[in-house]
Amino acid sequence: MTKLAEQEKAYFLGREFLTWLWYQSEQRGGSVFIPEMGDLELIFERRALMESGEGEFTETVLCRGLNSELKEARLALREGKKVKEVRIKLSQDIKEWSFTIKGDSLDFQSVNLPKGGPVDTDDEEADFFLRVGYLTELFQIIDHLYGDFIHQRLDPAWPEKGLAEIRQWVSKPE
Amino acid sequence: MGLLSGSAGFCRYQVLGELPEVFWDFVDKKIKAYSFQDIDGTADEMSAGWVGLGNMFDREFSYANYSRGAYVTFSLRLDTRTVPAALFKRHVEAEINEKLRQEERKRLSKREKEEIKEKIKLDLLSKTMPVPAVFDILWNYQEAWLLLFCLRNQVRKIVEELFRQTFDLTLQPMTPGQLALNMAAAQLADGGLDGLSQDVYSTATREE
Repeated sequence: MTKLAEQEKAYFLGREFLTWLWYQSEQRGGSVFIPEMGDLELIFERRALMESGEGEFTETVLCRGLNSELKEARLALREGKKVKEVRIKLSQDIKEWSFTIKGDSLDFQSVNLPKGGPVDTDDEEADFFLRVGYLTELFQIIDHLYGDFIHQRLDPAWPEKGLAEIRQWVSKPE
Repeated sequence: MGLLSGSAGFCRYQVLGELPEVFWDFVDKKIKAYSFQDIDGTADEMSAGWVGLGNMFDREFSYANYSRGAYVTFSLRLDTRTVPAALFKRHVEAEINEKLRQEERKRLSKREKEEIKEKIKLDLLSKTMPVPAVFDILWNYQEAWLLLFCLRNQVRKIVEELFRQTFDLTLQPMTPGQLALNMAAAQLADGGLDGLSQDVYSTATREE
């Protein structure tokens, strides 16, 4: 298999990452920990798109509600559906991002960046660098979390540790 | 939706290839060489090229306005011209009927019909104004990554190809698999991602 085909075939890692992230967030009461950054608030909010099957046998269900209220999405997970895309609210100190992230590609959609900026709103250059700073900070946070997930996922102990924990969480009634 | 304002949506790339030593001269020459070309006075269906960030009329890139510290910022302008299918069909039918009437014939050959379709298509395209669209790009050349502020597959393919033609560099999509290969090279040294199978979480699915 070529490297390109290999990396395209592994799209499911993105869906698994979002499930892992959901589990991590729920276990820590709506937060995640990154060694270099500390605790960050991370909440699955409002919207989750769940999917099972492939090609013409695909079944998709859209669930809406706040974090713990995503009961339908949890039920869909229990029925074997995977996280196709979710809406996330992420906060660090006074900065807050909200965005939709797609499992298959890790593309970002409808990204709302933290509010606030330079006092002089005519300073386009300052606005540009502030906005770019918030964008890069966002995907660097996601990369940190994804790296954490990947290292755990590829660890030989994954089936007995991480996977077993997620399975237990998935099967636990609300 | 873009880099400069509003709610943003973007996909990420890794930029592969070697940069020339005199980087900004190279960018200046190349970005101008592949700047957007108007198709207003033609019957072309599509034109794609680079313009200044967020300004579809800027093809000059004066004062190297694409240069912002470690970033190269610019936009893809994509003009497309389409003829509504129903309009096209109506004109083709009218032309065929007129030819049959004039030549007192009952039917046209397949080739004759194709010729009429081609003529009508060109005629209607030349009367249709192209619709412009602009998609922002943020390229950090020092860290070799790029953001494209559009998630449409058609636009992604155009940007990937035009970027390769312009800068002789490859845009590698940062997919979950590619990120895993980058982040866990040591753990994946032997077999890469090959052989990695999907986890199953639910008891219902595992029992099937």
